[in-house]
Amino acid sequence: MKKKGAFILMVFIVSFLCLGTGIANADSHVIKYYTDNDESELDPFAKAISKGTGLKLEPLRLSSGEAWARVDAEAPRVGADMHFGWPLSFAIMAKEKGLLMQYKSPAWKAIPSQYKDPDGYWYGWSYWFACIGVNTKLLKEKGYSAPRSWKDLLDPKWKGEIVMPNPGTSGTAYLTVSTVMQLFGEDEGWKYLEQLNKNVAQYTKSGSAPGQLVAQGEYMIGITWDQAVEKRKNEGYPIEMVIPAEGTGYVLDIAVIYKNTENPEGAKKFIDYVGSKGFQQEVAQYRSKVTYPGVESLVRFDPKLIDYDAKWAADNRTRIMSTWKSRFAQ
Amino acid sequence: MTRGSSARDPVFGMRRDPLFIGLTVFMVVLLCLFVVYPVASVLVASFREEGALSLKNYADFFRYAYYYKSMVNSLLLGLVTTSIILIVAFALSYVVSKTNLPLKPFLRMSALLPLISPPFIFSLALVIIAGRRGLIYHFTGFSPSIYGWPGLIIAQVLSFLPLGFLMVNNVLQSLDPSLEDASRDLGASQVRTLFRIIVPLSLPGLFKAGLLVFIMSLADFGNPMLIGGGLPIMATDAYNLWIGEQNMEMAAVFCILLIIPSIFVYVIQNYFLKEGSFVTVSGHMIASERRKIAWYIQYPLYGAALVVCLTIISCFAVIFISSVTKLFMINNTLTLEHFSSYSGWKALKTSFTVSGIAAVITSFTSIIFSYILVRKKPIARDALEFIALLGFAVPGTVMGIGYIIVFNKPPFMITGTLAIIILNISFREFPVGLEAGIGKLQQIDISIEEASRDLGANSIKTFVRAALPLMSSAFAASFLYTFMVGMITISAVIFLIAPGTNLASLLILRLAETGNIGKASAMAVMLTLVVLVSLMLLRVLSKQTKMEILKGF
Repeated sequence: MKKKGAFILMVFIVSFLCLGTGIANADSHVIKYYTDNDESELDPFAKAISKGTGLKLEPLRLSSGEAWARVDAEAPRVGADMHFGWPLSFAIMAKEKGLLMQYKSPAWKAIPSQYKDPDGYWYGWSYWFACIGVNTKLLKEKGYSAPRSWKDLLDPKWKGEIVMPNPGTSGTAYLTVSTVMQLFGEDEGWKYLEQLNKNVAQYTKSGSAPGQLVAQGEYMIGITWDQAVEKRKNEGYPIEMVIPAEGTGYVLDIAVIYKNTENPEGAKKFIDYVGSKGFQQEVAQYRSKVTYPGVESLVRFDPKLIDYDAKWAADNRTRIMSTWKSRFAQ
Repeated sequence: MTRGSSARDPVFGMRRDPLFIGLTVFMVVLLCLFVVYPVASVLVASFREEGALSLKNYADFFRYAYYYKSMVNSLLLGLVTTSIILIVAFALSYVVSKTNLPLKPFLRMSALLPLISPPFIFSLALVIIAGRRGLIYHFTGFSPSIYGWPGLIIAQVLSFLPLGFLMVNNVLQSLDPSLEDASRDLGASQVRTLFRIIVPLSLPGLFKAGLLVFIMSLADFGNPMLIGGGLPIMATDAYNLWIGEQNMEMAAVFCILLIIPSIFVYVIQNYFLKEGSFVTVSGHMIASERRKIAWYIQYPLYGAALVVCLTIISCFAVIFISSVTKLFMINNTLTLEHFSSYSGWKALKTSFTVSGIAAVITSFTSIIFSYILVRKKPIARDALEFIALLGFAVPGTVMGIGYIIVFNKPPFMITGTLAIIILNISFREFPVGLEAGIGKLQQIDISIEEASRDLGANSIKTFVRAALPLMSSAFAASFLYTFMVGMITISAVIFLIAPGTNLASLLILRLAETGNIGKASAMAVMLTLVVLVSLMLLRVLSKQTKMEILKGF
């Protein structure tokens, strides 16, 4: 009977060890990636890539700042093979930390060089910009006319009516903050944000949330990104996009491979496919601008884009964010 | 006093049984690795300042308003939520156990409903109902401001009501009715009886319930995230500090300060209130005939109970309606499109798998360990029990951060796997089964096992054949609890998910956060249904099967 006892003990221990080590074994057809894709685009993009490459995809949605915190904490063993959908400034930070794998994709020949890294570390597949969303129904009730510029948002009548994402977690918000800095200069920029803060009712975690909150009529004005407004407008919400008169910053959405990937061949296939005309046409169904020349999006804007400096945004993020925290933390 | 029913018996002690020694050592190693080590790592991290150890982080915490304010807010929120829950739970229990008013089964059922759905479901519903352009505005033109304190308090009260109700109801039912009768017969009015007899007698029980609710409120993560409107609250701020600012050291300080009240409460619970025998006189209760209760007592209580239960039901109704309409209040076309989400179904499957495995592991190990603790009396029994309890007492945010610190580097590199999520849930819920098992074993007379031994059965056989069947209710409690919590938990696992291991509860939180109310509602409905159906299947299974261990369901 002693043997039986020892046997039970063994089974017990072995099953725990299996749990600890086994389960997530590498599969050569699986690619895990982090993404800031909105829930509505995530499934269709993943489906298209999976179909085009034969890969099995495991995406995890994270707001871009949140994703950076995670990648930074996990480094050098990042918990994903790739990142698909992340503002360029974060990719630059990841590249400087030496987390990315170099790959010069032959499939990206057609895409202009400003959308890809000359060293082959990052590939830009779409870009989007920061904008203002306004609830037309609420404006009409109050008899207000929509703000036209960044400066218009400082009007005291918007007090408690503006919702904006938190730049700690949201790429959209950091884009907005760094755009303001690049537009007005740093000192003026902080003054601007200080005044804006008086009108802001709530800072959300994700950059898409203000679009939804304004669409539902929770707030009159939201700072968000283009498709967060456009998508809701098409769904029938009383929401309109305002592109600030001073101009606005844009973000190149990138795809990168992490150096520690267990499936470099699959990741390369992924990158190749993202640069194909077929996939770019699919992206154009959901995004305003793609990087493949000649592929036109369903929605056409001609936003006044500033010459946004993503490198500056990456280099100064830590400093700007700590100032932000000390001034605006509640 | 030792808690076993017999003192160390030289014949029955069996402390030297190699199997049980092996299992004990094994469990201790696991507890140290998966409970003590992560919590200790957080403690160390909180003192770390540029490589050296210092108190600077704590000094900073108390120096800057945006840090310590979150502690003030959390404690205040806990106090308010707890007080309201105790009042409502008392009203509910009083109505259910002492009156003959109609709709009692309905009140009971709706008060327990929040047990089986994600705890932040009420935040989601409240925004739809009382948001600035919600249902209330729709019908009355009045736009309440629900974000921040009001929403947070209501959402927490509704979320944690079942716990309060179960405990308070238990207290009221164990009150000896003859005391009430005596008071009335001696000429005291009903109000006097209520406030001089019933309330004072239930105070210890209420206090105990209050402590638990307070801890739940302090550890709550989803509600502040969704309806807090940016109000600084410790559990979510720890997450934001880590994720939004990569300020791991300050996040660790938040964690440690969150642990202190929890540990305090558990010490009170386990060492001062354990017996709880001063609630009522022991012995058999004399059934007293139900007295007629004055209208001015029963109707206010009934009214309070009814309002709260109706609120719960309407929250569920709103979630259901918004899951089957295109855009509730803006486009009310019926649709099932919110239910067709690939990532949603996958997350649901993952949640089910994870919770199922965790429930099996937890229920078996906790029962075995409780048997070892009570019957084998290992050295330092109380210390072992305390360590095990730690997993439950420590708020989820802390366990999540601790796991990230410990398990994202060799030799225990398991981040990104399902295993880390399963282990996290198992060790956090392990104490529930453990306590249930210990409680049960103290009621079971040891002579049954002694008989088994005397008849020649060895210790395993004794355990399996004599003790285990009698412990089936503790086993079932542990299994069900772990499974349900696994399906709806967010605070710890939010740190542990990875591509391919996203959980349904976290997906709902994410959807709600980004404003996809329809999809979030649909997922919440599916999650609730999965839990309900699983519970029913388990009941059926336990009736059909011949396995003793399943009898408790």
